[in-house]
Amino acid sequence: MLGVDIMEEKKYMERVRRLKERVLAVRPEMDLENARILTRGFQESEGEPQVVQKAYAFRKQCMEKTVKIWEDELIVGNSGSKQRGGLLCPDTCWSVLDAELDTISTREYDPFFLREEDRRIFVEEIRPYWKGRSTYEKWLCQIPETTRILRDCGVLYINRKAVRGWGETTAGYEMVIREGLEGIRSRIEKVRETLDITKPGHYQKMVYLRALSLCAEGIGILAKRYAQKAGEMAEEEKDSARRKELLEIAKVCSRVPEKPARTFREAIQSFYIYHTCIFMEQNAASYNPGRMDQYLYPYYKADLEAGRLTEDQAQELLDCLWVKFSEPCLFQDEITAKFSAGYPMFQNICVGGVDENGMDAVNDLSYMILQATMDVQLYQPSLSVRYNMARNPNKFLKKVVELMKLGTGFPAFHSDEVGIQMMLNKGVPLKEAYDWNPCGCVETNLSGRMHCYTSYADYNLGSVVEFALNNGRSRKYGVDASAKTGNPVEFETFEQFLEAVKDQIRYVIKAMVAGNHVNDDICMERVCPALSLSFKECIEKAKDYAWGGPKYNVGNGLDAIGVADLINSIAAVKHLVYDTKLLDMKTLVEALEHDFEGYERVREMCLESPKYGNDEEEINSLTAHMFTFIADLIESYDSRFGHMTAGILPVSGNTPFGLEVGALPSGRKAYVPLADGVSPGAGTDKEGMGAIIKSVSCIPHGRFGQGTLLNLKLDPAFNKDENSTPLLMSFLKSMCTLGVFHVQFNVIDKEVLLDAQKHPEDYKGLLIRVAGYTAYFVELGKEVQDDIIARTAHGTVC
Amino acid sequence: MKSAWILRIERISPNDGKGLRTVVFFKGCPLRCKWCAAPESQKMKPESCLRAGRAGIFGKEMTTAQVMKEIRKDEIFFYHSQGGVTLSGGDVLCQADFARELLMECKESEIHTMAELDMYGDFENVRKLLPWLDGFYADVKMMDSTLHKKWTGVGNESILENIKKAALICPPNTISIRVPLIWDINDGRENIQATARYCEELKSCRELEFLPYHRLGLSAYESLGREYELKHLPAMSFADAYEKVKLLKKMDLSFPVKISGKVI
Repeated sequence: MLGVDIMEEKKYMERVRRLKERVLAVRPEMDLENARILTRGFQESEGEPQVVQKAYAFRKQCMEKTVKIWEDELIVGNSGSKQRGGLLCPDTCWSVLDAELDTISTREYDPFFLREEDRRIFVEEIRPYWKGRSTYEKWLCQIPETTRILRDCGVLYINRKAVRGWGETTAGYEMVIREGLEGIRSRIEKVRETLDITKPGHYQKMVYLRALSLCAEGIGILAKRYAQKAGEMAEEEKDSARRKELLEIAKVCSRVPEKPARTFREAIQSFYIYHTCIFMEQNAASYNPGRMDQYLYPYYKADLEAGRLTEDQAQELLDCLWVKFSEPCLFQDEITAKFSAGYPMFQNICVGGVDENGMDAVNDLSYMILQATMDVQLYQPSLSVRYNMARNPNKFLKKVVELMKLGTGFPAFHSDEVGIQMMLNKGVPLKEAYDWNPCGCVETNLSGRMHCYTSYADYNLGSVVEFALNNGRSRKYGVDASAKTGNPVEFETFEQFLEAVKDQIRYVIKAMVAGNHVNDDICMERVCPALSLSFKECIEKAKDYAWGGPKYNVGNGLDAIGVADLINSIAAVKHLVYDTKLLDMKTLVEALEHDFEGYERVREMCLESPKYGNDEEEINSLTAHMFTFIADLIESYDSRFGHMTAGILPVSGNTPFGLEVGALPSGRKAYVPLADGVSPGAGTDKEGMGAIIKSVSCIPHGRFGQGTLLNLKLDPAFNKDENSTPLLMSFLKSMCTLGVFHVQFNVIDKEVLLDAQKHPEDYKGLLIRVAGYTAYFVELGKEVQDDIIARTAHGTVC
Repeated sequence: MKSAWILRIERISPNDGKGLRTVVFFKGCPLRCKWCAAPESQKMKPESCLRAGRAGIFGKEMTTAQVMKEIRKDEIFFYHSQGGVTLSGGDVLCQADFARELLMECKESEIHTMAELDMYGDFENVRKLLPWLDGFYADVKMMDSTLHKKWTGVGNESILENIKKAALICPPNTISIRVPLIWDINDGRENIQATARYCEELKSCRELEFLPYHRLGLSAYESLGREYELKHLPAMSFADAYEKVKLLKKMDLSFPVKISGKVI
C-alpha cells in the first residue's frame, strides 16, 4: 500500500472547523465579572463562616454570571463572561493583577487584554475589599527566610501555588454524571442526618454541608439558565436546523447535571457544566477530565445499541467538546507565565490502560477520543495515553503512533506499568492504582479520590552545582544563598566534591519543604466546596478538599529541573579533575567565574567530557545513583498530607531557571537555558533515540511519582513512511520495558529542516541520519541537506 | 580474542533488515565504486578527516568483546522489533574471521544476524559466515564484467559466482539482491532485465531491491579532502527509479521487486 488512504471528509467537520476558527480568532482578555460577583458575595455574607461565604459567592456567580451560547455550538458552557477570558481569584491572589495593571495587555508571555471597564471593576471593587486578605499576601508574609533567599536567587520556583487556585486534581466527574446533583444532595442529606450540633466538631461539619448544598444548588441553577437561554435563542432563530439544535440544548441542560445523565450527549454536557464550575470556583491549571473513555463509554454504548446515536454523531459531539477545551485561558502572573507559557490549562484527558480487574480497558471511545484530537488539532485538551503493554492491543498502539506522526506533539505517551508503580508509591492500593490518570503535564492522579499539589515547586539543579563550586554563593546575585560546603579547591577526592553537591541538594530540598509546610497551612483557608462536591469522602467526612477530605492525601510534588546539567557537570569534574587530572580544580573554577572567556580550551575539554544521553555505563550509574539519592531525600520528609513526593517536569521552567545560573562544568555557558525534562542537553547526544531512552531509563521513574518528562525529536528516518509505524511501536514497547514513564515526540519534518537551513544558529544540536551515520544537520553541505529534505516526508505520510 | 578495523556502529537503524538493528560498519573495501556513499570506509586503516572545522578520525580497532558490548546495549529493541545485528561496510569479507567470531557471539545470545556483503573474492570467506547468518544482502552492481571493472575497479566474476554458490547451500528466502541504481551507469533496460534473470536462477533469492542513487556521501568526500567524481549527478527519486524498474512487473518473477524497501 502506498501513501495515505484518501478518505472523504466527514460532514460534521464543517461545523468543527467553524467552531475552531472562531476560538482561534478570539483574543484572550481579562474577565473580571467573576471576581466582582465573588467579592459582592463575600460582602453580602459577612459574618458567615469562610467556607459558607465561599459557597454563597459561588452560588451567586452561578445565578448572575453572563450566560452565552455561541453560534454552531452543541455543547455549551463557559466559566466566564467572555469566550476566552482570564479569571482572577481575588481571594487567592488579587494583587497579581494589581502589579500588572499597566502591562498585562502587552506583556511578552500570555498577554490578556484588559478593558477599561474591567480595570474599573478591579480598582473600585476588588482591590479595596481583598487588600490584606488573600492567600498570596499571607504567603509573601510568612515565607521562611532561607526559602525566600533561594527563591530570589532563582534556585526555587515556589510562588506558583500562592498565585492561583488548586488545580492539579481530577474531580469525580463520573459521580456527577451518574448520580446527578440530586444524587449528591441525597449523599449530603444522609450525612447531615447523622450529625448532632451538641457533639464536638459536628457544628463545623454542619457548616460544611451547608456550603456543599449551596454549591450544588448553584450548579443546578446555572444549568437551568443555559436551558432558558437556549430556549430564548430558539424562539428568535430563523434557521430551522439551528432552532432544532437550540431546543435540544435547552432540553439537555434542563435535565443535567441536576439528574443522572441518560445519553452520551447528556453525559458530555453534564461533565462540561461541572468542569466549567470548578474552574469558575478557582482559576488554576490542571483540572483534569481524566479517563473519559471509561466513564463516558456506558452512555455511548447504550445509545448505539438503542439506535439513538450514530458513530458520526458521537464523534461530532466529542469534537465540539474538544473545541470548548480551548476556550478557557489560565491567568497567571508574568513570572509563572514565563515558566509555563501558552495559557496552559493542562486539561489532561487520558485513554487506554486497564480496568479495575487489571484487564484491557481500550474501547471504541478510546479510538474516537484519539480521533477528536486528530480532527480538532488545537492546543487543548492535553491528550494522554496510558499504554499497557501486557493488555492493550497493537491496534490501539498503532493509532497512537499515527497520531504522534501528525506532529501536533500529542498524545503524551505513558507507560501504564510505571504509572501504576507511581501510584503504589503514593500509598494507593493496587486495585485503585489501576485507575490512575495522567494529570496536568505528566503527573499522576486518581479521579475523585486524591488530594495533592502534584507540582508544588521547582528546584534548580544547575544552581546546586554552582553552589558546590562556589561555596554556596550565587554567581549572578553575589549572595550567600545556600550551604557553606567549603572551598572546592580543597576537595581532594571526587567523593568530597560529590558530597558537597549532595549537601547543596539537601539544603535546597529542606528549604523547599519548609516553604511547603507553611503553604500547606495557609492553604487550609483555600476551601473549594464546588470541587469537593464530587469527592465522595469529602461529603462523607464533611471535610473540604483543602482540609484533606479526599480518600488519599499525598505530600506535595517537588520537581527537579536541569537533570542533564547536573549529571554532565558532575561527570566532567570527575573526568577532568579527578580521573584524568587534565585540569585542576582551581583552573576550572576560574574558567566558570569568567564564563570561559579566555578559557576556551577549558570549555572544549568540558564539552568533550562524557555526556548524559549516550548510554555510557559510567554516566548511567551516576544517573541512577543521583536520582535514587534525590528520591530518598524527598521521600524522607513528611508533611501533614503524607510524605513529600518527587517529579521531573519542567514545563518551560528550564528557560527562566537557566537565566539564573552561571557557567557550569558541563561546558554550558552562563545564563542560557538548562536542559529540558529528563532529556539530554542540547547537542550533547550523539547516539540517537535508542541511546537516549536507555540513558533516561537509569532514573528510577517509578519513584518520581509526580512524573518524568521526556521530549524526543523524532528521527525523520522513523516518520518518512508507513513502514516506520511498526518500528515506532516496537520502540515504544522497548521504552515501557525499560521502565521509562513518558515520552512526547517532536516530529522533524520537511518544514523544520527548511527552517534549519535558513536559521542554522537555532538548530545547532539537530541530529540527522545520513547514509548509515548520524550528523549535525547544519554542518552538512547544502546539496546533502537538500537531498535529505527531499527524502523527508512533507508532514508525515508520503 | 580477535580484533578488527571498524568504521562505526549505528544503533536502532530502521533500514538494514527486519526491525530495529545495530549496524556494524567494517572498514576496508577491495572495490572502488565511483558512486560510493561511504568513501571513508574504503581504506582499511583509520583516516584523519576534517568535519565542520574539527579534526577527526574515521575508524578504530575494536575487539569482539568491545563490539559485543555495544550490540548488547540494544537487546531490548531487538526483542520488541524482531531486529538484530547487521554487519556492513566497507567490506565484511576482508575481515571474515573477526566477523565469524562476532556472529557466533550474537548467536550465543540469540540475536538475529544479517550482513551486507559485496561477495567479492574467495568463496571461503563467505562460507565462514553463512552458518551464523539468518540472511544477507548481496550487491550486484551490474551484470557486465567489463563495465563493472570500469566503475568499481574490479570484475564481477567472483561476485556472481559466489552468490550462486551461496544460493545452493542457503535456505530459501535468505538472500536479498541489492542494486544501487545509478544514472546512465546501470539503469538501462538490459542490465535491469539481466539482473532479474540472474536472480531467477538463485533458489534462495528472497527479493530484488533497487536503491535509487543519492549524494549523501558528499560530506564524507569533502571531509576527507577527496574529489567526488559523480558530483554532477542529481539524486534519483522513487518515481525516477520506478520508471526504470517497472518493466520487471511484466516478467512474472518468483520474488518481489522493491525500491527502497517498498514492493512495486
